Amino acid sequence: MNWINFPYIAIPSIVLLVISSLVVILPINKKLKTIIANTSSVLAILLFVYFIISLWINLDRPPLRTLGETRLWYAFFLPIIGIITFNRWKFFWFLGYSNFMAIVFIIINLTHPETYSKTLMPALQSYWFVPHVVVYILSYAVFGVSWIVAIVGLVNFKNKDNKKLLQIADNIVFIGFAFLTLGLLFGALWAKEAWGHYWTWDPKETWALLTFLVYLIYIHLRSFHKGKIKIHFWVLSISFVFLLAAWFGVNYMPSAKNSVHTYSQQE
Amino acid sequence: MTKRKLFQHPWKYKEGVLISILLIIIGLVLGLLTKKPINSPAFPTNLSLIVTYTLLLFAIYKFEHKRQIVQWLSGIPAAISSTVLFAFLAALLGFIPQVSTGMVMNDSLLYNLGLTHLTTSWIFAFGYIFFVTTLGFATVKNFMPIKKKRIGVLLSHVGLYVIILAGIAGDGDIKRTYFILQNNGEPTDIVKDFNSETRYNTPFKLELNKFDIKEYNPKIVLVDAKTGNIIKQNNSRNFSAKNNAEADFKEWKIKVVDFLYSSAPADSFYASFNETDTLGSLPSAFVEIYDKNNKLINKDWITCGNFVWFRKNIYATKNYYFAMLSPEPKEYSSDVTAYLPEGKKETFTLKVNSPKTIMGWKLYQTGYDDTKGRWSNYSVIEAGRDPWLPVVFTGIFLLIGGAFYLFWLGGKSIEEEEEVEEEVEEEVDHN
Repeated sequence: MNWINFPYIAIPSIVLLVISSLVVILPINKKLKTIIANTSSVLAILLFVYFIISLWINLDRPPLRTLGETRLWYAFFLPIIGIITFNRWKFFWFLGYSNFMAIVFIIINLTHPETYSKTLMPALQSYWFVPHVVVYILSYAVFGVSWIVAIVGLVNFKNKDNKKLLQIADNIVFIGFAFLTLGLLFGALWAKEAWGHYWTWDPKETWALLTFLVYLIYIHLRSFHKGKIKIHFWVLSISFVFLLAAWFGVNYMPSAKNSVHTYSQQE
Repeated sequence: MTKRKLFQHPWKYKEGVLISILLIIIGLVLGLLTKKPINSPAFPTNLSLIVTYTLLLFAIYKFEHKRQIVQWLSGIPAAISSTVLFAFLAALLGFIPQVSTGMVMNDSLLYNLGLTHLTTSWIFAFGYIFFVTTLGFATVKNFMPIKKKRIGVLLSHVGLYVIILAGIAGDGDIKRTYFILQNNGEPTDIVKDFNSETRYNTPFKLELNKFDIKEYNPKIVLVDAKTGNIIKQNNSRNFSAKNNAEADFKEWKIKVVDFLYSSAPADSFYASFNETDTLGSLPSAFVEIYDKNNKLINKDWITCGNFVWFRKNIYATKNYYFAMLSPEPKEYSSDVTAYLPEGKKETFTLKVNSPKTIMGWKLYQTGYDDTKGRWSNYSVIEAGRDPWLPVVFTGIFLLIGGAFYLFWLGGKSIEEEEEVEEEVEEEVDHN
């Protein structure tokens, strides 16, 4: 298999991932939905396994050097984590989101064949790049959903179901926090390989740590003060602001001028 | 129930906030008085400090856990207060540009307060100690006794505790130095510290056999001649030079008729370029500029210039010109030989993201003479030593374990904690 054959893998995968994501709206029972979602996701993943392995053999090196190859791994890992999380937590929205992001990467690859050979800049050519990005993509999305839950909680505060709502938020936040922690730690392990030290207080690192700390505060608040629901909704919604600052605010801050993460400012 | 007075037990958040403010004030005052950064202790002081501190936490919790202050320090209100303080310090770090500690600074107020070198300031040290103490007590609490159901919570706390203690200890012992290896140079064991420029000798010698660099095709951009601002292609993508490539910038179209990756001017007027691979050869392109009516308005050779040749741009109008940027590196590597004691030697290739460890020194491809690009005469190799790294990595893997637990149990991972905290509260109430 080579990049020439990519559409033959990509298009069936997209179809399978769409089925896996949309099966939730079909008027069939939940058990059947789960079986269909699992089967189609696993088939899509297997197609990617086949393509990646044969490309690897063909290139005679791990396909990790170009932009197009990187997206291949995103499209491979996202549905895997999506289906694992779905089976554990039965969140159809999470499965849908992971599959959707995978489809986006597949489509970008299909429409930009020039990126198959576009070599990544040296700092990004690492085994850690893909896992680091994948867990962050997932954690940001999960926290985005928890933010929506928090806003709903604040707007309908009089609603009696608030406690239940917050319990939903907890599950989501804990999953997001697990991904966020992994992202931070994978970043540290990568930094040791690439820049000589695992932690240099680079502005992006600092803001990622800050995001980690504010969600840590939320988790500890939740474990102690069960009653103070309004405060929890507030903390949860404000935490997301820190996440956004870490995500794209950093590049605009005075401290960012020496950041190693501002790849867009090479010129 | 009578209202609890400030600092009357059991302490809650007000005390946490006051202690944090107090720590900040003392930290700032100490900064103003001492006016210089503090250094992390090196081996063996750091090791004994860490061990003593950890044993002390265990002993205090074991024998004095009924004491109100210990209850408070190992409980959630202190954990949250200290995390808020730590987050506040991280936010300062995130907003205020930091200077490297080796730099000589003028006598500005920000510097004297320690805010421009926060990680080596007194307020950071105090915030850090507060955080480590509450984290330490929480960790110890999870050990006494170890509950199977809370193993993930234990992993997370131990992991974080180990990471940040070993991290700070490592800071005192870490060496980050660099070799400058000349092309065709002799093997050398001289390295310089990144911060202080102090010279050291490594226990082995290193020799550069060959420095190799591959570059991307250079980008072409439009420049506003008045401001010097770079304007990207209309769909905001980067435009790289190659044969027959064309792109729209503002109202003009630029077309690359002939692109030479390695070339030199054929005459002193830069009127034409020849393909060559002699010292200082550089990329050039023959381009045509069209206006919005597709009328050819200018055509000429352009080049990015380097240490041998001047840059040459092409004007679209008086106020706008097209320029070729210097090519960016795609891949660079150094083929080096390390000469070890007893006449052994080892030859290997260093690349960005693929370091190599020799006698406890981790060697990295770091840089080269970027004014000369692929004609660089030397390669910069970082040589780093961090004896605490295995400890930090142990902490990282423990915390990764904790993260998996959190993922698997979700909201359930705190239900147990609630029970425990309630027990503690009851206990406190009895006292």
